[in-house]
Amino acid sequence: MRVELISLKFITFLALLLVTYYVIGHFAPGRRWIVLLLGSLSFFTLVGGWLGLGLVVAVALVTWVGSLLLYHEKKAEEAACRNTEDEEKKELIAKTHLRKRRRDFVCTLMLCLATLVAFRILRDARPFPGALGHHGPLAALGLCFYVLQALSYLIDTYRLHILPQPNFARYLLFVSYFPQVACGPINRYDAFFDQLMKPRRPNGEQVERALLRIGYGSLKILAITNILHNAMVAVFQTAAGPNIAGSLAIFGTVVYGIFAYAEFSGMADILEGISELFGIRMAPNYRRPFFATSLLDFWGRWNSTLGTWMHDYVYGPLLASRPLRPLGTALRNWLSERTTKTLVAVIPTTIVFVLVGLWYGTGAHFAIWGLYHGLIISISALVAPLFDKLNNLLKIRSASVGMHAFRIVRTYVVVCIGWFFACFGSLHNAWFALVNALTNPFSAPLETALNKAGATYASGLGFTIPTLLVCTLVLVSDIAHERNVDASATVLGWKLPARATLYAVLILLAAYAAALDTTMGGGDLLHVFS
Amino acid sequence: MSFLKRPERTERPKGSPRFRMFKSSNRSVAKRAASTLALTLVILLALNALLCWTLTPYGSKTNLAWHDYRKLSALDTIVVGSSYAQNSINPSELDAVLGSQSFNLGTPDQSLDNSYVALQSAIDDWHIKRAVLCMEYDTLYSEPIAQSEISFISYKQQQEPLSQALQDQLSLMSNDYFFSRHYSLTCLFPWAYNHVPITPDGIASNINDHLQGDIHAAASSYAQRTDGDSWDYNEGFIGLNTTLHGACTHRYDYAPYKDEEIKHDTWWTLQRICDLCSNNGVKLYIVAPPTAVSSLIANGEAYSKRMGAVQELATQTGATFFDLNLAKLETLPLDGSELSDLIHLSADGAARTSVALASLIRDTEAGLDTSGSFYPYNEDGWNEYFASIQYVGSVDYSVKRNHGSILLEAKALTGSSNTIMYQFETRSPEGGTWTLARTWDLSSSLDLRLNETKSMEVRVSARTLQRGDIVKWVTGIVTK
Repeated sequence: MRVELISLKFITFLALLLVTYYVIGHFAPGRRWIVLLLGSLSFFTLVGGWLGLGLVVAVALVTWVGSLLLYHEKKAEEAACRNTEDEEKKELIAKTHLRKRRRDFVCTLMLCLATLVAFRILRDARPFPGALGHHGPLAALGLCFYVLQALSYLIDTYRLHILPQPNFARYLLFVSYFPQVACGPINRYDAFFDQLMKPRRPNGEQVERALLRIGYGSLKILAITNILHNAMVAVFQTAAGPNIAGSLAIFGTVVYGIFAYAEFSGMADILEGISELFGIRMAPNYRRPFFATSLLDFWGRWNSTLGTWMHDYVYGPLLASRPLRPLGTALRNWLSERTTKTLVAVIPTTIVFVLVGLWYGTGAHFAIWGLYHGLIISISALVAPLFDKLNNLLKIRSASVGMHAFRIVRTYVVVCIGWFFACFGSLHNAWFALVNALTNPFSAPLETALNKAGATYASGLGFTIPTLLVCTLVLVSDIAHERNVDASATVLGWKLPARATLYAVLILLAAYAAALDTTMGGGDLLHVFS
Repeated sequence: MSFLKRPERTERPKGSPRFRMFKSSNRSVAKRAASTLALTLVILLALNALLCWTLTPYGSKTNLAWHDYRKLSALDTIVVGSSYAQNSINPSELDAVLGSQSFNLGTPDQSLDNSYVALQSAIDDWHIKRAVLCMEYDTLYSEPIAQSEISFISYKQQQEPLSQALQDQLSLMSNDYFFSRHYSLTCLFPWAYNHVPITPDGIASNINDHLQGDIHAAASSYAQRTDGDSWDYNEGFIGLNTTLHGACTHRYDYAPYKDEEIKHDTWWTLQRICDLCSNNGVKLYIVAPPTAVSSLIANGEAYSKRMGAVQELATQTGATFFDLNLAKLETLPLDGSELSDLIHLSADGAARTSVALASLIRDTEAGLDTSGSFYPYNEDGWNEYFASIQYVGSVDYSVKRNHGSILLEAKALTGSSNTIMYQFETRSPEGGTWTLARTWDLSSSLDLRLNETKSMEVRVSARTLQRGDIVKWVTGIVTK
């Protein structure tokens, strides 16, 4: 069954949980985590039924048992080493135990994947509420946010970065904490677990701030995502093909950026706001990506915890892997240290971004999208010294406002070109769209092309008045944040009548926008399991 | 090069004084929160009420139905359902034959859930003895439409006691479809879903209608303003004065749900309706009102299978089922001229249908067997029904491209025993007069050559060899 964040069902669930949380917290503060755990498990049942609940418990159990095995192996190694003074023998013991730990680690990973596959088979055999969304094969397999979080815990235990959690219920809360499972972030055990166990008690200002953020996220989803979906379908499905007008292809990719940012950051605003209500601050995941000054910076702002995950668990190990080490040694004989490092990093960077592409979507075009990002980042790192020299030669101040604005625009154009591959459904359609956009961008008036493709709101190029208003609001708020001005604080500082009027008007605006188009709805919780 | 700078893990609240809003005691914080909430709610309620009054159409068909229902002085028979019900069953015709006091509470896009609500109201308010539920084939499949669900309840609430209005609102918000979607919250703002055109003229006319207070005049002028509809009104029934003369300006899918299974929720609600009537001693008639014959032909076996299931359910629960689409000519004389648009009956078609239904109810209640008045849902019955259709329901075409030429293949949806003739016309996509590409002929295909032009508008017409008076056509753009 479809469950939306902005729905009475979810609000009822949340209200009951908050009341229980604070009542229990009043009498037994140390037991609040149990309420959170029960709430999170109820959330999984609400969204995915008993099968969904079974899946999260199974994944958590496998990774928890695996991490304990790894820890005990290490303990056994230390005990064995204590019993001998012989260094050679100690080395042998360490090697033997490392092999065992590696074996246990691989077995746990395989078992985890087998669990996901088994549940997927069960899900397909029995229609499962959280059916596949638009995520790719890696996500479709079940490598969704909470699984990545559980894997990060397992790998950190294997690397001895953290001590395993002896209490399964506490660990289960870390994996299943409900505000993080629908659209991230991927929280890390060392930075997050203590907050779950000892949440702070939010004060009135923090509560009002959190509620404001939830409202802001809801507005983004209802007034932007909900409305622009129609234009998305018109461009990427109906009009896609060899004859797509160039203007329409450019328009589609630009609008897709707004659409996707509003959807993901809107969900993140709501869920992070909800987490704040429990006194728990999650890692920020979307931080004004359209103000990024480079593609690397963009990925540090767009689903940034996925980027960090990939950096720590895929990029790092690849860079240190056996095949790349001799390559670095060989290149060092010919090239400078910096150039060698940059060149060696090209391969893991490209692999990581191809994986990111496949995580986002199914099909070769998503792999190409990832490849494009990987190559652009690699090339820009390679030519960066040249640009620095050129800037010095032309006496361009790289810290100037103009240069900053240029970098933002340049990054945006590069990101938009990448979206051609992600949005058009197939490599074939993406190619024609890109060619038509570059060679003949003015082949047909945009409004006519949109109308022909069947966009319901083509008269406003897919943008209704509420959409434009909320887009402006988001832009102003993001500019303010970029300039280190806290927009929420400004609103919270207004006098009561002004604040209350603003809240009432924004609620009415959200309601009006929600009724204009109902295809996307109010934040579908589809991606909890995919 | 490093692939990514490791971003900060958590964005701690900024410590500088400019980010600190206020520092106060818990009591003043609670006071501030309570006053913000209270004032926001007051402003929200006031604005919402104002927007409801100015923007919600006073003259909508749903408002008209509920308004007149509230004014009734007696009622023993209620008709519920979607626009099919509203446009098909004239209570006067029922009353004339049955001696009843009936009212048509059909409303546009009324879902089975709302039919249940309407029936419950009629049972509670009037202890009715007879109910007619009009249920077309598509009802079994279609999702509830939020706009009509919300307007149905909001108009119902207008003259209700507060407790009943609150109960209706809660039922709407917590129904299976709304509860897990944003409608469960946004339904509190009915003007957002159901409003007059938001233009100075649209709003001024609506305010004027409100101030005049004559809902019948308001409904008539609102229909003229919005759809250009002209209709006669009687006890909830809306008789459409236009007649479809064969035009189908666009290609229409008559069988969108052909391969789907009946929705579980729909079936469950249908059972609840049957139980509601059975438990309250109300004689329930489930009626499939006449619609486009093309819908039946296009759905084929799926139609008889699904509607057969409804008939079975009706039988099991003590209700009576009439599929007026499958009524024999002597029961309901339909000849293809009874439609007002692609799917709804005209006033003339509705008059014939209402009389036939009234006679069937009378005979049933007199203990007579009416099953002989219909073609049965089996292969023989279906074949007989097809053979009885003497006119073209609709026509469609397919396009095949072959080295610069375009082959148009027309297909009429019609009875099995008819010989069909086709005609093809063309014109520029920008409009203008039609040029005859091929006159009436038994061949259903045409090889069309597009020389210089990239695209062309075509009009494909069809009629039976015997009846030239009923011609159906479809238009569309073909491209090279």
